[in-house]
Amino acid sequence: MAVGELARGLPVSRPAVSQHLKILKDAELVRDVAEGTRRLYSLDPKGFALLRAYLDGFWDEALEAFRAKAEER
Amino acid sequence: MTAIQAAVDEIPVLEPVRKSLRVKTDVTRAFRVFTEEMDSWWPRSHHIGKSPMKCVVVEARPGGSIYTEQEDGTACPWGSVLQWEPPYRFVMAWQVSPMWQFEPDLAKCSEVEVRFTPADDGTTLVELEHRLLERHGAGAENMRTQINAEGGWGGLLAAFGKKAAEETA
Repeated sequence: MAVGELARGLPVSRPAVSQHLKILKDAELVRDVAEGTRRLYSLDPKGFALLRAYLDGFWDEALEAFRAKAEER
Repeated sequence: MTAIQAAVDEIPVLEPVRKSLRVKTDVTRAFRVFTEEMDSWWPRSHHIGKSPMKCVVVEARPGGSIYTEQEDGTACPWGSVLQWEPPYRFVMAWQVSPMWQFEPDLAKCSEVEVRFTPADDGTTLVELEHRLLERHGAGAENMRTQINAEGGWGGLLAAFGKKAAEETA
């Protein structure tokens, strides 16, 4: 999605949207590719991959605790 | 619509977290311990209250709330029962935002489905799927920062526990 599309309907200026996108890009939440003279932005899956990794580890821990309790006599 | 929401529309679907384990108990007990007796095994570090958690409660019905009771007397909702099919299937909304706050809007929440399948030898296959993770959307930035700062899941849990303690102090 291009900056112009993102800015349309937003109550902030186009430069403000660009600034916001830069912050998101630094945080690796969005990434951009050049297409001619414009830049197209999309979500960077890395940030979400960390959420997924966190939950993956959490469920390993929680399910072992569940197993111990379920198998108690 | 914010820029973030617009961008969320384009996010690739995240692979669900899937786990399966066989427990040496019958399906009725496995379902009951997982749901109504969740308090007996739930990791104490995992709650979104501002004081230490006392217990976790699962209201055993469709639409039931899932919440913790805290030592300061408050109740902290963090999930809802979406499907309740004892003793075989249970689906809950995971209403924890990446900012560690209750998310009332189910459209921004992931889902956890747990299936219980009895075997002839009296054991139960438990299969868990935590899906629709992309619905947590933009707040993942906060979670990412915390994970990176403390280096890995163990560090995150420690940070989370410390944060909860700090907020009590």
